[in-house]
Amino acid sequence: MASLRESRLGQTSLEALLAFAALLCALAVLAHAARAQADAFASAVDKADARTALAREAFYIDLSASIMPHASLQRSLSGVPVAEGEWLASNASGALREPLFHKISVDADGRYYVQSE
Amino acid sequence: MCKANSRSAQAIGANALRERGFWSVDAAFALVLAVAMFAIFSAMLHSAGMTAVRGADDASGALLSARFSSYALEMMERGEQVELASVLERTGKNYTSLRLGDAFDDAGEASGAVYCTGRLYVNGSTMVKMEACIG
Repeated sequence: MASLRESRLGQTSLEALLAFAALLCALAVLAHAARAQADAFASAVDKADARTALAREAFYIDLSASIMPHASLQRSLSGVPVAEGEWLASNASGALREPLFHKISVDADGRYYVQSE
Repeated sequence: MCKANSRSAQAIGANALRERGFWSVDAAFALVLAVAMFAIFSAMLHSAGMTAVRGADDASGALLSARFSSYALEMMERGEQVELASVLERTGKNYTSLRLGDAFDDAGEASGAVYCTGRLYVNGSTMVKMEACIG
């Protein structure tokens, strides 16, 4: 009877260990999935932030260029002029670009100027 | 004999209770709840991310149409014709249109969201409604 009880206890303990291992595996999978979801969310929010900042920057550039032709934009931009100043590319992600209706260029001091047409 | 049977029945009952405790309805329900909460939380996170991206795209489109309307006004003040095809080429968009009073001109084909900006401008002594769309 005693040996039966010990055997039964051993079996239960093995079941518990297996169940615990399964639980740990499930938790690891869930944690991995949660991390992937959180990374995707952070990436989407960062991309949205960069896109909004770039669109706002392009708006200020075109607005100031139409009000003051040959204006000097003496402040740091959140984007870099590319394609001969016709586009503004994001500093955070080069794939994000906004078209400009007024070309801009950069001088040796890093200041941006609206190009004369 | 009777005592032995009684002990045996107690042992079986204890085992049954223990096994029922191990695989109980409560535990199964807790697991279902945990998985459901995880799925709901993931869906909410995904939806929030997509909403942020869509909001940024909307802001970008709205600001682009505002810039396009300012550019069109600037061209008209200079006495130049607004070439919609060149606007499409420059911006990399699919569609653009310009309405001046009753006159309407467009280029490309609208496939997706089109953002419009309407404004009034003084042409000589008359007020003209202008609407510039891009998408």
